[in-house]
Amino acid sequence: MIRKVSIVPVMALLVLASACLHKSGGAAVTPWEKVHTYNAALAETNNAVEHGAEAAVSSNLLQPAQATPIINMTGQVALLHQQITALLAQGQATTANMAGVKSLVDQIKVSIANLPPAALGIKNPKSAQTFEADVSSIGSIADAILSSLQATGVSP
Amino acid sequence: MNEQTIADIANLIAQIGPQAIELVIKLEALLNLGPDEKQNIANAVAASNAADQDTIARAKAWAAAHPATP
Repeated sequence: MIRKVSIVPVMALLVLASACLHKSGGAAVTPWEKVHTYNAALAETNNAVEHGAEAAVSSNLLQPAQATPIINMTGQVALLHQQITALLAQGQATTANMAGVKSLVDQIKVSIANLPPAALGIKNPKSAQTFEADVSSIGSIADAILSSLQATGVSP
Repeated sequence: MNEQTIADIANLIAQIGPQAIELVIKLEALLNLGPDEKQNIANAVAASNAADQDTIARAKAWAAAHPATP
């Protein structure tokens, strides 16, 4: 089961800021630019979770044993996400690519859902929100990748 | 969301806190696109790959330094 939180500042920031997603010169942002922007945001947020977990251990907010599942999850998500990036980099919204991205997004959500709850209530010093909110943000951004990819014209 | 302003984003950044500024700057940088679509996509792919490679390397290093206990 994917955990839900009421406030997701990182995702909220991204959604707010997406209203300001713009190109210099005033040209329209293309659907593929949106897809890749969300895709990079997922990698950066996941990276911030890894850095934050290590920082939380350094600050004695987390024990290493509590941080290990979070850090392992970020490594798994990054490996899966590299495959998403490779599919998106082909620049083709084929039905096969769409299905591949959806499968990888589902696997990312399983990695998140398998996290033990013990450490998730701790605040990540790199995002100033809890690790629970961070990982929920990763799931939300993954959904945003899928929905923006659908907007390029292919159904899953 | 079109009526949202830069002030809304600034307020949200203030709510998140200064510790998160590094992530906020990275996310904001992603949202400021240049005029060329191919270059914008290449930049996003490069940022994505760099972040993922760093995450994977750090997770491996952590696992090596903190082997699981039975």
